[in-house]
Amino acid sequence: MPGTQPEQLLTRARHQVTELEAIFAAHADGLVIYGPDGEIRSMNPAAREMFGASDGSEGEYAELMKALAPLDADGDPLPLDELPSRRAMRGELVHGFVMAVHTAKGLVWYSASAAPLWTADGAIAGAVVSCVDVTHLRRLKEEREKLVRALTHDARTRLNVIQTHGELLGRAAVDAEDARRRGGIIVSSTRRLAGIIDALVDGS
Amino acid sequence: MASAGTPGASLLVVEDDRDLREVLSDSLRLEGFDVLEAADGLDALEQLRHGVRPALLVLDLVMPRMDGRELLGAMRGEGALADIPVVLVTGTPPRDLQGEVRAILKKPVGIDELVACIRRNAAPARGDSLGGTGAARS
Repeated sequence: MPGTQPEQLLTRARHQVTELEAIFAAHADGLVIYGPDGEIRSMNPAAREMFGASDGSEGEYAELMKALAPLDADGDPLPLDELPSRRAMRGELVHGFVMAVHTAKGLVWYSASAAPLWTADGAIAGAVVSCVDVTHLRRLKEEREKLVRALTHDARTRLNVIQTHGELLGRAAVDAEDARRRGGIIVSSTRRLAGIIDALVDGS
Repeated sequence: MASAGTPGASLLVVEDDRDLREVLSDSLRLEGFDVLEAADGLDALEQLRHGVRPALLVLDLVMPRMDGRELLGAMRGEGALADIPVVLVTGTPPRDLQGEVRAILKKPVGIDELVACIRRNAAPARGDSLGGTGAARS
Protein backbone atom coordinates (compact mmCIF):
# COMPACT_ATOMS: atom_id res chain seq x y z
CA MET A 1 0.00 0.00 0.00
CA PRO A 2 1.49 3.36 -1.05
CA GLY A 3 2.54 5.51 1.90
CA THR A 4 2.49 2.71 4.43
CA GLN A 5 6.24 2.13 4.57
CA PRO A 6 7.18 5.80 5.19
CA GLU A 7 4.51 6.02 7.88
CA GLN A 8 5.84 2.87 9.53
CA LEU A 9 9.36 4.24 9.37
CA LEU A 10 8.19 7.53 10.88
CA THR A 11 6.35 5.73 13.67
CA ARG A 12 9.39 3.60 14.33
CA ALA A 13 11.67 6.65 14.35
CA ARG A 14 9.33 8.45 16.80
CA HIS A 15 9.33 5.38 19.00
CA GLN A 16 13.13 5.27 19.00
CA VAL A 17 13.33 8.97 19.79
CA THR A 18 10.98 8.45 22.73
CA GLU A 19 13.13 5.56 23.96
CA LEU A 20 16.34 7.59 23.65
CA GLU A 21 14.75 10.54 25.45
CA ALA A 22 13.70 8.25 28.29
CA ILE A 23 17.19 6.74 28.52
CA PHE A 24 18.72 10.23 28.40
CA ALA A 25 16.43 11.48 31.17
CA ALA A 26 16.76 8.43 33.40
CA HIS A 27 20.54 8.01 33.14
CA ALA A 28 22.17 8.33 36.56
CA ASP A 29 25.33 9.89 35.13
CA GLY A 30 25.37 13.38 33.69
CA LEU A 31 24.95 13.44 29.90
CA VAL A 32 25.64 16.57 27.86
CA ILE A 33 24.98 16.92 24.15
CA TYR A 34 27.08 19.45 22.22
CA GLY A 35 26.19 20.97 18.88
CA PRO A 36 28.51 21.48 15.88
CA ASP A 37 29.87 24.77 17.20
CA GLY A 38 30.69 23.32 20.61
CA GLU A 39 27.61 24.80 22.20
CA ILE A 40 25.60 22.82 24.76
CA ARG A 41 22.41 21.57 23.13
CA SER A 42 20.96 19.70 26.07
CA MET A 43 21.71 18.25 29.47
CA ASN A 44 19.94 15.40 31.20
CA PRO A 45 18.59 15.95 34.75
CA ALA A 46 21.71 14.36 36.32
CA ALA A 47 23.99 16.78 34.44
CA ARG A 48 21.79 19.74 35.30
CA GLU A 49 21.97 18.73 38.97
CA MET A 50 25.75 18.24 38.77
CA PHE A 51 26.47 21.59 37.13
CA GLY A 52 23.72 23.62 38.81
CA ALA A 53 21.73 24.31 35.64
CA SER A 54 17.95 24.49 35.15
CA ASP A 55 16.27 23.98 31.77
CA GLY A 56 18.79 25.72 29.54
CA SER A 57 16.41 28.43 28.38
CA GLU A 58 17.42 32.02 27.58
CA GLY A 59 21.03 31.21 26.88
CA GLU A 60 21.60 29.65 30.29
CA TYR A 61 23.95 26.95 28.96
CA ALA A 62 26.12 29.52 27.18
CA GLU A 63 26.46 31.49 30.42
CA LEU A 64 27.13 28.27 32.33
CA MET A 65 29.99 27.32 29.99
CA LYS A 66 31.67 30.67 30.58
CA ALA A 67 31.41 30.33 34.37
CA LEU A 68 32.60 26.74 34.79
CA ALA A 69 36.36 27.59 34.54
CA PRO A 70 37.51 23.96 34.11
CA LEU A 71 40.52 22.54 35.95
CA ASP A 72 42.63 19.50 35.17
CA ALA A 73 43.28 16.60 37.58
CA ASP A 74 46.07 18.59 39.28
CA GLY A 75 43.79 21.57 39.85
CA ASP A 76 45.43 23.70 37.16
CA PRO A 77 43.37 25.61 34.56
CA LEU A 78 42.39 23.35 31.68
CA PRO A 79 42.82 24.84 28.19
CA LEU A 80 39.48 24.81 26.37
CA ASP A 81 40.95 22.79 23.48
CA GLU A 82 41.62 19.96 25.91
CA LEU A 83 38.02 19.71 27.10
CA PRO A 84 36.60 16.23 26.41
CA SER A 85 33.85 17.78 24.28
CA ARG A 86 36.39 19.61 22.09
CA ARG A 87 38.50 16.49 21.72
CA ALA A 88 35.41 14.51 20.72
CA MET A 89 34.56 17.21 18.18
CA ARG A 90 37.94 16.46 16.61
CA GLY A 91 36.93 12.81 16.26
CA GLU A 92 38.60 11.51 19.43
CA LEU A 93 37.10 9.05 21.90
CA VAL A 94 37.78 10.11 25.49
CA HIS A 95 37.54 7.76 28.49
CA GLY A 96 37.66 8.67 32.18
CA PHE A 97 39.24 12.12 31.93
CA VAL A 98 39.26 13.53 35.49
CA MET A 99 38.56 17.24 35.74
CA ALA A 100 36.70 19.81 37.79
CA VAL A 101 34.52 22.83 37.21
CA HIS A 102 33.39 25.68 39.41
CA THR A 103 29.66 25.62 40.05
CA ALA A 104 27.32 27.58 42.30
CA LYS A 105 27.55 24.77 44.87
CA GLY A 106 31.36 24.68 44.77
CA LEU A 107 34.04 22.74 42.95
CA VAL A 108 32.65 19.62 41.24
CA TRP A 109 35.09 16.86 40.28
CA TYR A 110 34.01 14.41 37.63
CA SER A 111 35.26 11.73 35.29
CA ALA A 112 34.32 12.61 31.73
CA SER A 113 34.02 10.31 28.74
CA ALA A 114 33.19 11.71 25.33
CA ALA A 115 32.44 10.60 21.80
CA PRO A 116 31.71 12.43 18.54
CA LEU A 117 28.21 12.42 17.08
CA TRP A 118 28.56 11.37 13.45
CA THR A 119 26.13 12.19 10.66
CA ALA A 120 25.17 9.57 8.05
CA ASP A 121 27.67 11.07 5.61
CA GLY A 122 30.57 10.87 8.07
CA ALA A 123 30.69 14.46 9.31
CA ILE A 124 30.88 15.36 12.98
CA ALA A 125 27.66 17.02 14.06
CA GLY A 126 28.49 17.38 17.74
CA ALA A 127 29.58 15.37 20.74
CA VAL A 128 28.14 13.60 23.71
CA VAL A 129 29.90 13.76 27.07
CA SER A 130 29.14 11.44 29.98
CA CYS A 131 30.06 12.82 33.42
CA VAL A 132 30.43 10.72 36.58
CA ASP A 133 30.57 12.81 39.75
CA VAL A 134 33.71 11.83 41.71
CA THR A 135 33.73 14.80 44.09
CA HIS A 136 33.10 12.57 47.11
CA LEU A 137 35.90 10.17 46.13
CA ARG A 138 38.26 13.08 45.50
CA ARG A 139 37.55 14.55 48.93
CA LEU A 140 38.09 11.16 50.58
CA LYS A 141 41.42 10.84 48.74
CA GLU A 142 42.49 14.32 49.83
CA GLU A 143 41.50 13.62 53.44
CA ARG A 144 43.43 10.37 53.40
CA GLU A 145 46.53 12.06 51.96
CA LYS A 146 46.26 14.76 54.63
CA LEU A 147 46.04 12.11 57.36
CA VAL A 148 49.02 10.19 55.98
CA ARG A 149 51.06 13.42 55.81
CA ALA A 150 50.20 14.27 59.43
CA LEU A 151 51.01 10.76 60.68
CA THR A 152 54.24 10.68 58.67
CA HIS A 153 55.30 13.98 60.21
CA ASP A 154 54.52 12.65 63.71
CA ALA A 155 56.37 9.40 63.03
CA ARG A 156 59.47 11.19 61.76
CA THR A 157 59.38 13.49 64.80
CA ARG A 158 59.33 10.46 67.15
CA LEU A 159 62.19 8.90 65.17
CA ASN A 160 64.17 12.12 65.53
CA VAL A 161 63.63 12.08 69.30
CA ILE A 162 64.86 8.48 69.50
CA GLN A 163 67.84 9.10 67.22
CA THR A 164 69.03 12.26 68.96
CA HIS A 165 68.74 10.80 72.46
CA GLY A 166 70.59 7.72 71.23
CA GLU A 167 73.34 9.86 69.73
CA LEU A 168 73.69 11.88 72.95
CA LEU A 169 73.88 8.71 75.04
CA GLY A 170 76.71 7.57 72.83
CA ARG A 171 78.75 10.74 72.83
CA ALA A 172 78.01 12.87 75.91
CA ALA A 173 79.27 12.28 79.39
CA VAL A 174 75.95 11.40 81.00
CA ASP A 175 75.36 10.37 84.58
CA ALA A 176 73.14 7.46 85.53
CA GLU A 177 70.11 9.66 86.22
CA ASP A 178 70.40 11.40 82.84
CA ALA A 179 70.84 8.06 81.08
CA ARG A 180 67.69 6.71 82.79
CA ARG A 181 65.75 9.83 81.73
CA ARG A 182 66.87 9.58 78.11
CA GLY A 183 66.17 5.84 78.09
CA GLY A 184 62.65 6.50 79.37
CA ILE A 185 62.01 9.05 76.60
CA ILE A 186 63.30 6.58 73.98
CA VAL A 187 60.94 3.88 75.26
CA SER A 188 57.91 6.18 75.38
CA SER A 189 58.73 7.55 71.91
CA THR A 190 58.99 4.01 70.57
CA ARG A 191 55.54 3.21 71.97
CA ARG A 192 54.08 6.34 70.40
CA LEU A 193 55.73 5.43 67.12
CA ALA A 194 54.09 2.01 67.27
CA GLY A 195 50.72 3.74 67.80
CA ILE A 196 51.33 5.94 64.74
CA ILE A 197 52.16 2.88 62.63
CA ASP A 198 48.92 1.23 63.80
CA ALA A 199 46.97 4.35 62.79
CA LEU A 200 48.65 4.36 59.37
CA VAL A 201 47.82 0.69 58.84
CA ASP A 202 44.22 1.14 60.02
CA GLY A 203 43.78 4.13 57.70
CA SER A 204 45.18 2.43 54.62
CA MET B 1 62.22 27.56 77.82
CA ALA B 2 64.19 30.76 77.58
CA SER B 3 62.26 33.90 78.24
CA ALA B 4 61.35 36.31 75.50
CA GLY B 5 63.64 39.25 75.05
CA THR B 6 66.86 37.45 75.90
CA PRO B 7 69.46 39.16 73.72
CA GLY B 8 72.45 37.62 72.04
CA ALA B 9 71.08 34.13 71.45
CA SER B 10 72.65 32.40 68.50
CA LEU B 11 69.92 29.90 67.68
CA LEU B 12 66.16 29.77 68.12
CA VAL B 13 64.75 26.23 67.94
CA VAL B 14 61.06 26.33 67.00
CA GLU B 15 59.44 22.93 67.48
CA ASP B 16 56.08 22.04 69.03
CA ASP B 17 57.10 18.55 70.16
CA ARG B 18 58.62 19.15 73.57
CA ASP B 19 60.75 15.99 73.59
CA LEU B 20 62.33 16.84 70.25
CA ARG B 21 62.71 20.54 71.02
CA GLU B 22 64.50 19.79 74.27
CA VAL B 23 66.83 17.11 72.92
CA LEU B 24 67.74 19.14 69.84
CA SER B 25 68.44 22.15 72.05
CA ASP B 26 70.50 20.00 74.45
CA SER B 27 72.57 18.61 71.62
CA LEU B 28 73.17 22.09 70.13
CA ARG B 29 74.18 23.49 73.53
CA LEU B 30 76.66 20.64 73.87
CA GLU B 31 78.09 21.82 70.54
CA GLY B 32 78.62 25.25 72.07
CA PHE B 33 75.67 27.18 70.73
CA ASP B 34 73.50 29.52 72.74
CA VAL B 35 70.00 28.18 72.21
CA LEU B 36 66.56 29.64 72.83
CA GLU B 37 63.42 27.56 72.37
CA ALA B 38 59.94 28.33 71.08
CA ALA B 39 56.96 25.96 71.28
CA ASP B 40 55.37 27.14 68.02
CA GLY B 41 55.48 29.89 65.42
CA LEU B 42 53.57 32.37 67.54
CA ASP B 43 55.89 31.85 70.49
CA ALA B 44 58.86 32.38 68.17
CA LEU B 45 57.36 35.51 66.62
CA GLU B 46 56.71 37.02 70.04
CA GLN B 47 60.32 36.40 71.04
CA LEU B 48 61.57 37.95 67.80
CA ARG B 49 59.30 40.96 68.26
CA HIS B 50 60.71 41.37 71.77
CA GLY B 51 64.20 41.75 70.36
CA VAL B 52 65.61 38.24 70.14
CA ARG B 53 67.93 38.17 67.11
CA PRO B 54 69.22 34.65 66.53
CA ALA B 55 71.90 33.97 63.96
CA LEU B 56 69.59 31.25 62.65
CA LEU B 57 66.16 29.71 63.21
CA VAL B 58 65.80 25.93 63.33
CA LEU B 59 62.17 25.68 62.32
CA ASP B 60 59.59 22.89 62.26
CA LEU B 61 56.81 23.21 59.71
CA VAL B 62 53.75 21.53 61.21
CA MET B 63 52.79 23.21 64.48
CA PRO B 64 49.62 24.41 66.20
CA ARG B 65 48.58 28.08 66.56
CA MET B 66 51.10 29.34 63.98
CA ASP B 67 52.91 26.86 61.73
CA GLY B 68 56.33 27.28 60.15
CA ARG B 69 54.93 28.53 56.86
CA GLU B 70 52.91 31.23 58.63
CA LEU B 71 55.91 32.25 60.72
CA LEU B 72 58.03 32.62 57.57
CA GLY B 73 55.32 34.81 56.04
CA ALA B 74 55.16 36.98 59.16
CA MET B 75 58.96 37.34 59.27
CA ARG B 76 59.14 38.29 55.58
CA GLY B 77 56.58 41.00 56.30
CA GLU B 78 58.69 42.58 59.04
CA GLY B 79 61.87 44.17 57.76
CA ALA B 80 63.93 43.56 60.89
CA LEU B 81 63.18 39.83 60.81
CA ALA B 82 63.24 39.22 57.08
CA ASP B 83 66.97 38.48 56.87
CA ILE B 84 67.24 35.97 59.71
CA PRO B 85 68.39 32.69 58.12
CA VAL B 86 66.07 29.74 58.55
CA VAL B 87 66.73 26.00 58.36
CA LEU B 88 63.60 23.86 58.16
CA VAL B 89 63.64 20.55 60.01
CA THR B 90 60.45 18.76 59.04
CA GLY B 91 58.95 15.34 58.53
CA THR B 92 57.27 16.40 55.30
CA PRO B 93 59.67 18.59 53.27
CA PRO B 94 57.79 21.07 51.07
CA ARG B 95 58.98 21.80 47.54
CA ASP B 96 57.58 25.31 47.40
CA LEU B 97 59.71 26.70 50.26
CA GLN B 98 63.11 25.82 48.82
CA GLY B 99 63.80 29.41 47.81
CA GLU B 100 62.48 30.81 51.08
CA VAL B 101 64.85 29.11 53.51
CA ARG B 102 68.56 28.30 53.63
CA ALA B 103 68.09 24.55 53.83
CA ILE B 104 65.44 21.90 54.35
CA LEU B 105 66.38 18.88 56.46
CA LYS B 106 64.15 15.83 56.67
CA LYS B 107 63.47 14.27 60.05
CA PRO B 108 65.09 12.29 61.51
CA VAL B 109 68.18 14.48 61.25
CA GLY B 110 71.45 13.53 62.94
CA ILE B 111 73.27 15.93 65.23
CA ASP B 112 76.34 16.22 62.99
CA GLU B 113 74.20 16.92 59.90
CA LEU B 114 72.22 19.59 61.75
CA VAL B 115 75.30 21.25 63.24
CA ALA B 116 77.09 21.32 59.87
CA CYS B 117 74.04 22.85 58.22
CA ILE B 118 73.73 25.50 60.91
CA ARG B 119 77.41 26.47 60.59
CA ARG B 120 77.08 26.75 56.82
CA ASN B 121 74.00 28.92 56.94
CA ALA B 122 73.95 31.00 60.12
CA ALA B 123 74.34 34.74 59.87
CA PRO B 124 77.72 36.11 60.98
CA ALA B 125 77.54 36.45 64.72
CA ARG B 126 78.24 39.64 66.70
CA GLY B 127 81.35 38.14 68.20
CA ASP B 128 79.33 35.59 70.11
CA SER B 129 79.49 31.83 70.24
CA LEU B 130 78.08 30.99 66.82
CA GLY B 131 81.03 28.81 65.97
CA GLY B 132 80.55 26.83 69.14
CA THR B 133 83.18 24.73 70.79
CA GLY B 134 82.28 21.40 69.24
CA ALA B 135 84.59 19.23 67.22
CA ALA B 136 82.34 19.48 64.16
CA ARG B 137 83.29 23.13 63.64
CA SER B 138 84.02 23.90 60.01
